[in-house]
Amino acid sequence: MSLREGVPQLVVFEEEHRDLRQILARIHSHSRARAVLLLDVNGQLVAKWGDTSGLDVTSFCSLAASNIAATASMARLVGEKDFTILFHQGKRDSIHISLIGDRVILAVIFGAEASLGMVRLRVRRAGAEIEAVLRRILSRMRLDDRLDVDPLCDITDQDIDELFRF
Amino acid sequence: MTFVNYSARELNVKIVYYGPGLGGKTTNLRHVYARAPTRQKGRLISLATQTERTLFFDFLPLNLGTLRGFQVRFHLYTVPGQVFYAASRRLILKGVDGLVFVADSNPLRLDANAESWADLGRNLAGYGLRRDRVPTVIQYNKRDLEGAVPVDGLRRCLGSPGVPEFEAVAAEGRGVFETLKGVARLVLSNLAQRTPGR
Repeated sequence: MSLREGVPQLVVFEEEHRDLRQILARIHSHSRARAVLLLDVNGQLVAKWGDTSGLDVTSFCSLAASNIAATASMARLVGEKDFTILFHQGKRDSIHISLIGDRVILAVIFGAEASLGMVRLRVRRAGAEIEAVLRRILSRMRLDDRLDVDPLCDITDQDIDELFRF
Repeated sequence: MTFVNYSARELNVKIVYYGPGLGGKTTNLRHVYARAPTRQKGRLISLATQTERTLFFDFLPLNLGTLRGFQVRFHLYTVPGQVFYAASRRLILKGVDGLVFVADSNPLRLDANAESWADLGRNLAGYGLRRDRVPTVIQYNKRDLEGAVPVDGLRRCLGSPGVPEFEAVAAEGRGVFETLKGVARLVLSNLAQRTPGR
């Protein structure tokens, strides 16, 4: 079953969030990356690890997801399903972006102290672990009764006005 | 696709501004950006041509504060309105939670409004979504234009879809936040109704 199938939204609980962060931490230390970010295919940050100081994480995630989406469209134009890995090399820092399970995107930002080969190896190994956590998240989303404690139940016009006080 | 992070207690929502080229989608975002307090907004990203026409999208993250203990973040996107950027428009709609259709009140743009509205329906269908199932509001923009098409005429041109409507002059900020609040209300109510397990 595709990881995207049958679930309209992604809900991440504490346990899985901790597991995902541990996976990111391993990629970070083993590949000597500057930062590792996990986002959903729509550009929402799921988890991150490492040094993101000075990085506009929200914008980065939006652009990374758009990058993957645009590249997938190009792939289909040349008869491929998608291109699951993107690599952008800079003078100081480089970015390795990969699509995992058709549902999330793993972005690794690394400098000269890391090698592309090591990043690729660690990302490939982590991919299966991340997919396993995602499958757990999706099965919990179908079963977990904590979702009944919904932050949005009985939302009022006053609540909405409170959000837009500026 | 709304993203709920119970660990970080965050709720992330994607809103897309859709509509014909030069209708005022980017102007809406610029006004929101100008008015929102610094601590509640991220950077306004515009992937635009050298003549400031939107090439891929504009993006503005808004941190709206807390609702029932959850941090509510809205990610606002615009699509490029020009006809030949159809592929980019389709991509931006992926995972959309709510739509603002910005219609142009200029009588010369009536056909463009209708074409863009039809294009929206086709692109949503490409993701298996029905237009009447996605929380949508319509903004009738440029109401200050001399000879502006009456709202009733604009409504008919879009097939009278029966969604919340707002009149606006986005260049002056009129109606911009009313529109955004309108779509926020729809999206959050809709999300409450379809959360799994409920």
